[in-house]
Amino acid sequence: MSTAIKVENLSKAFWSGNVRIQALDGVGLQVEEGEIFGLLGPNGAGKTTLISILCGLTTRDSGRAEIFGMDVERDLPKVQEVINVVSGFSGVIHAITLEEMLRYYAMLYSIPEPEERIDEVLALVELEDRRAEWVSLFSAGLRQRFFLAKALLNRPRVLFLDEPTVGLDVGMAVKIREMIKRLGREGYTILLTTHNMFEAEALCGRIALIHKGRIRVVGTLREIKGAIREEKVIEISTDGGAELCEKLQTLEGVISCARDGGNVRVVVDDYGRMKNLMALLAKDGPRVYSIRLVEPTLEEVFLELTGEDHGRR
Amino acid sequence: MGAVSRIYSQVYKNFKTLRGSAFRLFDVLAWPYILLFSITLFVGFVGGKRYMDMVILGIIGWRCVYHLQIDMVTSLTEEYWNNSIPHLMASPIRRLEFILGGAISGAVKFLFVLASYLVIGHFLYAFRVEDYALFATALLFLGVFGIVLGMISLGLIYIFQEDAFTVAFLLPDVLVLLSGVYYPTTVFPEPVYTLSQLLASTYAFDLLKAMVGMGSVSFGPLIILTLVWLGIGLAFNRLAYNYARRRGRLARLG
Repeated sequence: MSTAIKVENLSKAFWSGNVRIQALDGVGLQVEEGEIFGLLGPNGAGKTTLISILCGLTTRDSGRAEIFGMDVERDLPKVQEVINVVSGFSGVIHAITLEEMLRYYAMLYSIPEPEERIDEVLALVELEDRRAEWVSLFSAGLRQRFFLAKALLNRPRVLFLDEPTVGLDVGMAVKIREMIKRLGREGYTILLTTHNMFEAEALCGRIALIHKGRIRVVGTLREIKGAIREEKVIEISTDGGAELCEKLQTLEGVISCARDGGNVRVVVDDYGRMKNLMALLAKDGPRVYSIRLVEPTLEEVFLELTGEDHGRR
Repeated sequence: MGAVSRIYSQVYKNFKTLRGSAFRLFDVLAWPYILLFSITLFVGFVGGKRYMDMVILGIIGWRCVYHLQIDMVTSLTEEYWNNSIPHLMASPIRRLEFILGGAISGAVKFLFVLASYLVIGHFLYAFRVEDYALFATALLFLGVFGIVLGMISLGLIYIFQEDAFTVAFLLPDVLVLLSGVYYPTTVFPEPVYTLSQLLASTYAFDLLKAMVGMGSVSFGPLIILTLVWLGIGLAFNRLAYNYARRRGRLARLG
């Protein structure tokens, strides 16, 4: 397993009239080979700028950016041969059929045996029976599947997915996510940008939260959620009342216990205490309907870390 | 092998998009003949076989510059209008491969138009090329000038994006008119005349006019100015491309 993407202290500013906009401000991250890595942030956070630099569309002001050890500036021709990109915001050339479009991109990537590879990618995205149709007339969902097919043509070592489900209906978004999951299982390295917290949770092994051009936190979901909340809460839906709380509080590691409607909220020092709780409940406790770990949602984590309140008021 | 495939990709795209774009289709099947007949009908009316030949040769040269330039421009604008530029620019195609692809598809379209002009000219106006070597040489230099204008037009689009579209589409026509397409450049007032002498295309059109005894053959300025313009085109295109990357404009094109 090697490092697929390595970014160190990367900065980029743009000018909008006389206003200097710091799109990236000392960004650093590392994505390992075979990983689905999520870059999460609101519009204008710097996600697309980072991908643009990694794809060679934009130059950096300072810092380093490498794909499998190749510098994205110095070794750009080689880098562009081993990457590919899907964007939720791009369009397609008018009046070209699906098969012709894939043939065009196969030429751009100098794919050997292009017809064979086109058949393979069409099967992967389940568009084999649409090959004679104009892609420009496809629905948004079918178009995203085309972009996935196009992005797989060169068997990229790194796949950039920039908001791949934006604007799709629920059913099609689910389908695209399933395809992304399958690509992850097949070993593709994927950098996924999204502002959809659910999508990031569902797809990514590790996540970086980016805000105003800075990475605020990087880690697994568990690590990120742990970063903002020290306490561990277990919520038990039960008939039991104050008596149950008293018993639970005698257990080692239980910090507090309180009734909250039909639930009992138990704060513990470690989720490993769950075993003792369950043993006590099983022994002579009241009827228990459900037990769950109460973790902050990624959305809560994001708001906490960025200190912003996007439209919650 | 990879470069050939990438260059051919642009030729393939430029021909596949013909069928869905009336604008591009008319560029090959309609406008060349409207241009031809609008002038030849007038010259036929006022008379003069020599003038008719000169006009036809001038129009052939005009279309040569135009097709070589315009296919490069539309190769990019097609992607721009369809919002697919990032997919093109993130692919391994190199800047010069993109230029060559556009130039080749433009050359193929010009050859189609040229063949139809020669047939129409022969049957309607008894037009024939007397000196094919000179004719081919003139078209070669005009083709190179068209490529130079294409590189400059692409550069302007990289920098100014859609604000440059109008200039990019007008550039070949304006410079062809300044080059004395089927009239001597001496008809221009002094400052415009001086400007026309700086254009390589002026000397290439002179070659065409010389075929009917109405221009001079000056290979020295033709070769030197062609090389100078080629250098300017390559340098400007490169600088503009790098500027656009620095400013993040390639990612935002479209």
